[in-house]
Amino acid sequence: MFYLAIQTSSAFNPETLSPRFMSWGDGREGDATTWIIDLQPVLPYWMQQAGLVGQAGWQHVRSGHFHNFLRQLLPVGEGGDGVAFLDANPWRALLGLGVMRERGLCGFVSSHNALGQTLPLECSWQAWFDHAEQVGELWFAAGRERFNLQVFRRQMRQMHQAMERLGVRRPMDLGAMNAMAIRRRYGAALHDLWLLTTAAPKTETGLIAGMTTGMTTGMTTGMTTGLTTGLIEETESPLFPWQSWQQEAWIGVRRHLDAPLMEWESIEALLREDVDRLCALLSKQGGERVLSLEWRVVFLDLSSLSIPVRFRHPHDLPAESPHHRTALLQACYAYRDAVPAATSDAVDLGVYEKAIGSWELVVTEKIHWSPVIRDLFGACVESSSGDWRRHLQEKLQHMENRLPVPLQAYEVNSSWVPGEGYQTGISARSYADSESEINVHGRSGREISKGRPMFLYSRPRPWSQPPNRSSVWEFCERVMEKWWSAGGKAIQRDYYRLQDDQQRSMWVFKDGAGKWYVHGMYN
Amino acid sequence: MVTSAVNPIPEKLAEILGMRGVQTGASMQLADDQAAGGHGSTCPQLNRFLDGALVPGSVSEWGMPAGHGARELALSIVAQATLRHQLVLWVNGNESLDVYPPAWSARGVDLGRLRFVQSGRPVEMLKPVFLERLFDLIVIDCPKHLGADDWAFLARQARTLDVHVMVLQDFLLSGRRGNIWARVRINCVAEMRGWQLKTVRGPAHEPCHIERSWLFSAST
Repeated sequence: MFYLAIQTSSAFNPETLSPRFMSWGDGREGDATTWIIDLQPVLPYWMQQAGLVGQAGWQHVRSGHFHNFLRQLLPVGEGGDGVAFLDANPWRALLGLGVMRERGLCGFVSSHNALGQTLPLECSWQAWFDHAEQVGELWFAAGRERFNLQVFRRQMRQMHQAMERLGVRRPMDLGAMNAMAIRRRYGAALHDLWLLTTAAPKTETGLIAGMTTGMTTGMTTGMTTGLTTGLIEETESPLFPWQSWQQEAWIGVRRHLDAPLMEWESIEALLREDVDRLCALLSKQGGERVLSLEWRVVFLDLSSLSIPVRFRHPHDLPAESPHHRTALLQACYAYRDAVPAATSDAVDLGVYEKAIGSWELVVTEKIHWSPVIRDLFGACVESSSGDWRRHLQEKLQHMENRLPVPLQAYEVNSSWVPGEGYQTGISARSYADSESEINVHGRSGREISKGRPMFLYSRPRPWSQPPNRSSVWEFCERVMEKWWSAGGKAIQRDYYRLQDDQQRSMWVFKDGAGKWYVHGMYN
Repeated sequence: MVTSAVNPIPEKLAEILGMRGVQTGASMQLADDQAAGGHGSTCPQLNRFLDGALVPGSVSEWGMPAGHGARELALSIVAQATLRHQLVLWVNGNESLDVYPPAWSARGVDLGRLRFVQSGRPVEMLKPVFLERLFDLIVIDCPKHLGADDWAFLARQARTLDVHVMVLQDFLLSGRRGNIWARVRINCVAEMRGWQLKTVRGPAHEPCHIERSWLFSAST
C-alpha cells in the first residue's frame, strides 16, 4: 500500500495523483489542507511512468526509483512550504507528516528509506493523541462496532497520563510495548492505533513487486472488494477510518429501456450511446481520465446489480468516441462475470425476470490527468512526441485496458536466489541494461541464469522419487539463501539437471535436510 | 528465402563466420530475409531450416513436448525479434509453471520488448490482441484447446495484421490430423545434445540437428 500525506499552501489537486483521497482535519493548523492520498488504484500506471522516466535518464538513482519519481510529481520542495510523507499505512503517513512539520522540514520523505522508517515514531504524544482524537471522531461517525467516543476519550486521557508519569516522551520510547498490553489497559481502539503506529513498512523491492502483482492480477476482484474500503492489508479489520472525498458533481447517465434486454449483443449498442453521453459530461470538465465506472442494472423483477467496469490504467473515454471499444470490452467482461449467460432456454420458457429493465452508468473513479512531469529542478518537462518508448508504453497501456488479464513485464534484479531474481517490471530491465550485475564466485548473473530453466514452479514441489542411477544427472550450482531473511538459518540448495527415462529435463534440488524438490522444467 | 544456388560449402563456412560476426553472401541473404520482416532466429541452422525466417502474416505450429527443452528454439526466435526492436507477446498456457525472466534475459531476450500473459484460452481471452496490430510476434505456448474456428481466426488475423503467430504444442504433431491453417508445422524431438527438427507441413527438408550449444552463441 502507498498512502501519501501531503500538506501544501500552494494550489494542489489530489485528484491528479489518485481518485481516492481524503482530507484530514478542518484546517485547524493553518490554511493549508492536509490530504491523505491512496495511490493504490493508479499504482501500476505511476510505476510504469516511473520506469519510463528512469530509462529516459532523467534521474540516475536506481534505489527508491519510484519514490524519486513521485517526488517530481509533488508540489513540495523548491523552497516552498509543502511537506509530504509516504508510508504503507495512512496513520503512519500522518504521524510522519506531523513530525516533519514539528521540525520545520520541507519536501518529501518516504518511509522506505532509513529516515522515513523511524520518523513516525518520533512524533510527540501530543501530536499522536491529537490525531487519535480525529480518528475517534471518524470511527464514531462511521459507526464502528462497540465503540463509544466518551470511553475512547477517557482511555486516551488515561494513556496520556500514564506516559507522562512513566516519563515516556515519544511513541518511539514505548516501542517494546506489546499491543495486547495496550489493549488490556486502554481498550481495543487504542490497541488498533498502536498496531498501526508500530507496523513496520515492507522493504522497497518486496513492496513494489508485491503491490504490482497484486494490483494486476486482482484488478477486477480485489479492487472492488477489500482494497477500496481502505483496509490495511496485513490485518483483516478496518483499522483506519478511511472516508473518501465525495465528488461534488455526480457524473452519470440513466436509461429506461422500452423492451427488456438479456443478451450482450443487444445491450452493447445502447450502452455505447450512454458512454457517449457520459463523454459529453466529462469533456465539460476537461482533462479527466476514467479509472472505473459503475453500471447499476435493474432487472425486471426489480432486483438490482452493481457491475464495476474497471480500467487498468487511466482511460481517456472521449478519445474513443464514438466506438468506445475499450469501455465496452471491459463492460462485456464485467457483465459476463456478473450475470449468467442468458440462454435460449430462458427465452423459450419465458423466464424474463433477469432481463434488464433499466440501468445507470456512473463515473466512480477518475483522475485529473496532467501530462506534465517536473524534472529534478522543478521545471515542467513535456514528454517528447518523438519518444518511442513513451509511445509504445501508451499503446501497451491502451491494450491492457482492453484485456481481462494483465500483460506482465518483468525486469531482472541483483538477487541470486532463483525465486527472487526478478520483479514485476517497472522498466523491464534486462541483463544488458544492468549497471551492477551480481557476481557469485566470478560468475555474473547472466551466466548463472543461463543454466537455469525458463520455467519454474511457483513453489518447489516435493519430489518423492529417489535419484535413479539410470537417469542422467548433471550438477548445476549450489545456492545459498539469504541468511538474514531466512531467520538466521543458512539454507543451502544443491541444484541438478535431471533427465528422466522419458527424456524430460527437470531442475531439481536437494536441501540441507536431504529432501528433494522439483523447482523447474527445461521445457 | 535462401536460393538453391547457394553452395553448401560456403553456406557452412558462412555459418561459422557468421558466429564470429563476419557477414558473407549467404549470411547476408539470411539477414535480408529477416530485414524484409521475417522472424529469424539467433541460430543459423534454424534459420536455414526455416528457409530464412518465419514469414509474417502466417501461423506456425510447433510440436514441443514438455521437458524436452525445445522452447529454447522458440526463445532464440523471440530473442532475435526483440533484438530487432520488435514487440513480442508470450502467452503461457501452463498454469502450474511460471516464467523465470532472468533465464530469458540471459538467453539474449530484451525484456523491455517482451510481454507475458497467462492464459490457457488465448483466442477467447485475448481477442483484442488479435484484432489490433501491436505485437509483431505472438507466441502461444500450451494452449488448452484450439478448435478449427480458433485456428481459422488466428490465421486470418495473422494475415490481416501481418504478424506471425507461433503455436507451441505440448505434444508431437501428427501428420494424420492435418492443420490447414498453419503454414509450417514442425516437430522438435529431443536428442542427447540438442534437438532434431522434422517438418510435418511446409517446405520439405531433411531432418535438421541443432545442438544446444549453437543456439545462443551468436547473441551472446
